[in-house]
Amino acid sequence: MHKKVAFIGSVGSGKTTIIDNLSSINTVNTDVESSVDIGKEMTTVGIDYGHIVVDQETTLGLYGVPGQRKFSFIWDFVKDGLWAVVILVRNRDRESIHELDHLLDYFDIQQHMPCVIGITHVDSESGESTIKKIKSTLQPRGLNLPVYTIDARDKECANLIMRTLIAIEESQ
Amino acid sequence: MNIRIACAMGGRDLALIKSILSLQSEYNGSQLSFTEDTRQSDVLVVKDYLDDGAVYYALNRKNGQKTPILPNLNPKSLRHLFSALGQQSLHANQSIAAVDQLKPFKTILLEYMQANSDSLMMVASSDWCVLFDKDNNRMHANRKIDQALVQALIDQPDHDTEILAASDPLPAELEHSAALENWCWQLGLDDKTQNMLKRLDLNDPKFKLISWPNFGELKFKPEFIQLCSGLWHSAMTQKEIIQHMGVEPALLCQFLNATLLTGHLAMVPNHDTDHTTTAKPTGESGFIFNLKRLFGF
Repeated sequence: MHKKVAFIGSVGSGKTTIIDNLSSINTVNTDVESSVDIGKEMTTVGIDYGHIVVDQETTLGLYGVPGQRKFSFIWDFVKDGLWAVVILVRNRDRESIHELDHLLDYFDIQQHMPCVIGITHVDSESGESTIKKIKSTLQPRGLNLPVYTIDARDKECANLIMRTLIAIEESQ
Repeated sequence: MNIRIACAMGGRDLALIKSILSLQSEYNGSQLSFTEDTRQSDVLVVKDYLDDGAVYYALNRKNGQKTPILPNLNPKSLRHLFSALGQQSLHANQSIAAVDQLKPFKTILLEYMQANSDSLMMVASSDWCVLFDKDNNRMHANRKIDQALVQALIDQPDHDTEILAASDPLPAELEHSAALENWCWQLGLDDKTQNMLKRLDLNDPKFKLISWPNFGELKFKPEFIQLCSGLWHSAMTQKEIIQHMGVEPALLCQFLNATLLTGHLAMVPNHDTDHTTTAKPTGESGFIFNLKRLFGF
């Protein structure tokens, strides 16, 4: 059996890093050198893939997909058989906060689907205003999703996200 | 009288409530309006998921009264609820009830954090003065906000407590500041006892999660995540939580103290006729069982 978790977020939001932290295998990515200055040398141009071996018969695929609407054709690849969604938002990134509404619609995020929102890059600046903006997007939909400020490089943060997804699934 | 209604559900339930309020907002002389912010509401409409279905009720955030919505959430039952709310005297403009000087500081703080007002609360003695501003998630003091100040707040019974309007200017001498939620959370986490809960007026209340704490920033135990998920799903008493989720009582106290003091948890009156949440049947899927094992549950 193969189940899927989609990690969705804009460039530099930490998808590749979190999948690296969780995956049982070396992450398959489509990184190339950045042609413009985006704050890092390499960037993903397709889908990241890693997986967790749950047991002899089951794997949990970890799919990193871009969050911008113009890449929604890539979302179709992961939508079928999706168990959970992790949305990564870069702190104070207006574009990715703006795209949140569309993502919630496209993936039909309801209270019953395990979903966590992670805000990355909060090292030097408070994530409070980003949290407020995200919650103001969720509240009109009656969604009470966990919104965490995280460091994608920290394995404990990756574990926190997975534990939360499991706890939400378990309480259904 | 203005009454702000919020809804802890989404989808059809949310759409129905908003729709009924948009068709008619005045009931028995009171003006009802919808607010998206559950923590700022006067009345919160809640759904508990049970083994044999779901139950709806309205929770009055001012006086803790619980009104069942029967038989389920539909236009007729909602109009009936709104009519009943309109008749009740919510005292929406009344400030927080006069503070009982005999109450321990944590109980006073809890009442302030649970109230849906945006007022400020000032607690002062001859040596120190602390202002709590939950709307802006800040606390301000005239001295360093450290463990010694916490102990002074807890130990000193003869402090003055005053409720101020949100528009009042901050006193100039309050030059030290800290994030209120982090401070309240730590205060609750450090308390493994039931002392604060015992001072509450509610008899064996149920607890319902209304917003997730930010575990990316707040200290937590792994069990807190499951507690949050479980209490979002259904309101439960302490006994039900321990039976249903197998949590140690001391750890549960830490969780309840921390989440109540930060306003993430609401208290729901427990009536004899209420459903009792029973333990979920065992036999979870192999997928979840093995995933839990992998991630240290």
